[in-house]
Amino acid sequence: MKKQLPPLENDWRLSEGVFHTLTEEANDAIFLIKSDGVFLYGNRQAVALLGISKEELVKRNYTEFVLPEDHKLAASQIKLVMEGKPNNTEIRVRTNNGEIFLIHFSSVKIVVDGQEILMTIGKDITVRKAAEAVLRNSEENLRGIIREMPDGILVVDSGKISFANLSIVRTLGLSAVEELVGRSPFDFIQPEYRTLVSERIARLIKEGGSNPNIRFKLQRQDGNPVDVESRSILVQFDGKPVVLAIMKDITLRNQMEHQATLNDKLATVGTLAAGVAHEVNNPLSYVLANLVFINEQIEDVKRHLQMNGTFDETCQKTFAEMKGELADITKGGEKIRDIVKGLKAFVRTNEDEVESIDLNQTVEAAINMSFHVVKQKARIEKDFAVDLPRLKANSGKLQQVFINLLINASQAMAGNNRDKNKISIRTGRYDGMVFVEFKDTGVGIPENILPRIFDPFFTTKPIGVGTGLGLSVCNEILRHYGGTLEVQSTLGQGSTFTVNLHIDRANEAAAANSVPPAEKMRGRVLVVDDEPSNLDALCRLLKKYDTVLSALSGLDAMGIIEREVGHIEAILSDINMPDMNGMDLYKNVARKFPGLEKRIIFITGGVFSEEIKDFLKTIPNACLEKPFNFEEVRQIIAGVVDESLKNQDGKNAG
Amino acid sequence: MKCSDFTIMFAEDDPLSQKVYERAFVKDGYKVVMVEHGARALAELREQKVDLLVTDLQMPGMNTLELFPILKNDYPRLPVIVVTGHYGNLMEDFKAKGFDIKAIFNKPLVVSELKEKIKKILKIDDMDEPKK
Repeated sequence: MKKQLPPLENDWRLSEGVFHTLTEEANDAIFLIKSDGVFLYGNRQAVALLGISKEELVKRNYTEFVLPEDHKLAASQIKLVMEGKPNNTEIRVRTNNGEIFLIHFSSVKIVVDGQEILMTIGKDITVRKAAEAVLRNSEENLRGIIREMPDGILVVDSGKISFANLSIVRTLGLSAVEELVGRSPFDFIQPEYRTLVSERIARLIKEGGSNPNIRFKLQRQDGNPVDVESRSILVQFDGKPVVLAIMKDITLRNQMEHQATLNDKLATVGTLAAGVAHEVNNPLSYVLANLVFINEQIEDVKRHLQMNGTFDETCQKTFAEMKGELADITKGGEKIRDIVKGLKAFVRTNEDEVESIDLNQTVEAAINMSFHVVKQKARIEKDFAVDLPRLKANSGKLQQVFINLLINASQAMAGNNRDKNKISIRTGRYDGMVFVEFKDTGVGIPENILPRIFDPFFTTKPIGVGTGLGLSVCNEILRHYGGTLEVQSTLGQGSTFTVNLHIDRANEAAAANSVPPAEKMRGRVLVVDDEPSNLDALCRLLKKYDTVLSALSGLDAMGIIEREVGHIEAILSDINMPDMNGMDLYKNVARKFPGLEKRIIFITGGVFSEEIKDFLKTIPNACLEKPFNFEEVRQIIAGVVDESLKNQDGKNAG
Repeated sequence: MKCSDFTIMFAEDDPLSQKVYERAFVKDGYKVVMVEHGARALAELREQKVDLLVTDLQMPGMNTLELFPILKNDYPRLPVIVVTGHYGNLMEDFKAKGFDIKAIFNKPLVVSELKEKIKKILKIDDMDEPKK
């Protein structure tokens, strides 16, 4: 078949017909142009493009349609082709109608009847070029947005950074993206966070999706840390899954949060200060007064000696009085010392120190700190869980949270009716968490403002009473330790704020392996008396013999018993006390810790109600009458303690 | 008039402060009635004649602000001295509420100043006092 087909040159007429059809039906414009630029021929598309007739075309010169700016280009196009070099050029053409098109010309030289002619195929690329420009622009825009975005962006591909934006470059103290690309992201993470981040990346690659926000520290070029909040997502990049990390520099935010915490602390200290002043001034009053007395007595004794010459009974009596006064002065001094100690623990400066914390103790410290503010308004009821696992936090900051909640609770209650106003504080644990709940009987929080109470500066208190920072700061402090603050409120009935915190698992394991402290061997005694000086005297008396715990009320005693359950061998309790008296204490102990009530020894002032008199007849417990013989007290207590320890030893042995 | 002609009531919840009042004023010859809060004060006022009341501002149970309206009504002529650990313009507040307070003492209390004031209020002349 091939052989039969004649060469084109040999059948010009046939080929001319084919040519004609081909050129006329072609989708692109085809021109034949003489070396001087005059058109020889144009196909249907060519004349349509220029907007003229075929007859008109051959009268016109190619350059007439070329925009002046592109004349040079057109001239060189013709020159090059005529020299035998095929050429591709984009030239802007103005049609007869004044429209401008961008034409891509592919030109070659052909020879027709010995005449050298330029043949060019023109393709209108105006639309394509415009689309390309749009695409280029939008890509540039996107790149610009990503490059300039305030959040840092990193793409990590097979353990290496493959893309980074300017923000992350700046955050890390670098000068160019190139310093990041190709390196391991771990080169820029503070060592202590590397494991955490690598675990997150591994999980992301395995499970896909995205990782929630975490906070960690990057390491700048100069070695300084930067706080970031980061979120990572598994995305397709160049057709394969890579890790996209979006990081926000929160150093400034952390500083602001820190400042807000500090401001709130100052405000809280301000609120407490009035109470603290009262608490300090009270003992200071009797310290000073007793000093005046002693001064007078020294003068008395001096005068007496000058007159009588002997240190007689009068002088001895005065000296005994002075001794009593010195004891009161000491008590006052100790009281002031304790108040200052509490305040110091609260405002101390090493705020970032994270320690292992006993929740009950921290709540207790907060109660002590805010007691003078709260006690005027309300009763405090404690229901502390025993053997709570420890947690990891800064005790000063946790105290700040608890004090805030206590002050809020007391401010939520009107008047100072201590029968009606009550703050119930409960601690406990549930799956890996410990909690403390502050429940007040205050006015409650209206539903419409409930969602706003954790907002900074939101307050319903009068100017000067609250900064509006309290709850937002509490929330922030707790969030820092992975804890939460929850609120429940019923208008007119009160609110309950619950703090939830994670257990320190490492410490819990260590505690389980540790041996109980040796002090248990000597036995523990709890002394309960509402009269502070009696309490002190009894504690001092017993200190030589046992570990002594003290409580100023039946309620306090219950709190201590609950906390120390199993570690109290004997309880020495006054029978006449406000709120919960000795009889109530006995009943409560018998109900909650059966058996322990047998180890209560009562003290009485000799005067009590019929009810108590009858009650004492029904129980076998020892009842010591004031003023008592200290040796007798010691012996009775030693007996109870020994018996208790013997029972425990027996149990342990069996 | 001399100290032993008068009965002073002290409303104070702190036992050691009570001791100081007792020690300081019994020695001077006054009859001293000690109560730990406002409700006790009212109970004792019904029982015996009291010439002057020294009261702590804040006490658990019934505090002074709850006590004052009753005093104003039932014992309008009883001179009252307030002792407080709180600072601020309390006198104005009391006046605004129509309570006639003879004096306010801030803590830490200087007992000799309190003694002077009480003598002035009760019109006790030191010259009449027998020298100890």
